[in-house]
Amino acid sequence: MISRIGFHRIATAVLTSLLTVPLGAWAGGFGVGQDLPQTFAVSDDVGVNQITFTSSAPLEEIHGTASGVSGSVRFNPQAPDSLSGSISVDVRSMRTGISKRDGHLMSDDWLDADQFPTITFGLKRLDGISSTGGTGTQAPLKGSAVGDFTLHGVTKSIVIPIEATFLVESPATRKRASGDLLLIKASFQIALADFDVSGARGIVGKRVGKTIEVKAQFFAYASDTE
Amino acid sequence: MKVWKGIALVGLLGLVLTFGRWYSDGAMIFTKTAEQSVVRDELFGTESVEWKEGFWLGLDIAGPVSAVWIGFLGFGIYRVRRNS
Repeated sequence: MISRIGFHRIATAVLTSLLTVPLGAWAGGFGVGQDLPQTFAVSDDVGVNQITFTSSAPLEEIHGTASGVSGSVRFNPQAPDSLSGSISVDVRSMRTGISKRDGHLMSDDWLDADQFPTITFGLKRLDGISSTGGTGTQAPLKGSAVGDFTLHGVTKSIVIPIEATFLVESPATRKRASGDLLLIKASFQIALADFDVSGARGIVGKRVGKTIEVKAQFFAYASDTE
Repeated sequence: MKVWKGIALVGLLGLVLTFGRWYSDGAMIFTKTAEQSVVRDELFGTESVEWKEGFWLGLDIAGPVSAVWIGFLGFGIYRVRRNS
């Protein structure tokens, strides 16, 4: 006859396996020991790493991009909520299609690229994790990335919805980049006033939106295991 | 006399061409030097923006150039009237 303690242990083991099997199956695609965190370095070997931003204001709509994305992410498949890392964007890689406006963007009135050359996001953890379904390792994982966003010398804690997809190396992907790849997509909004970006007087709200829509898309590749 | 009429005509033509080019390029305030196009990566199912370099005249350049043409036009008309 099973004792009360024994029944509790069996029940705990069963419940734990039911919860970790889906994550384990997803994590198994990383090809690493499931108890090791792995570092993924952001690389643009694939050639699609990019941040796009949109400013919508009554007098003007601005669409821009930033291509200087770098950083790394550490991930433990057994504890996906412990996802951590840091992503940086080179401010001087931003462009809007108008050279004069790009110059203004880098100036003291706006992002002050000389004093604050990078925009960074320090990822602390991943909350609200869910798989979007499907089988195999290419089913995207969704969650809310919690971390510190630094822009124009001001750091704020923000939550960014992200989607991560693991791509196992294949003959097709090897033509573009070597190794297994992690594709991360994110979409969020930034309020300029929160980061002391005021611009030239009277422009914010009329020709530049008070909030900026940002979309990020980048690949990272497995660089080491701990 | 003919010279000054010619100068005025050059000014007028330059003004019309400059403003015509500015208007057809989108009548923008600033000169645009690149345009976005969205490219889809079929292998990874992603979309990214590519910039195509080009030149679309804005008022920041069209304005001062037009001022030069107005100068030619104005000076030509002034000399024609003075000589007549």
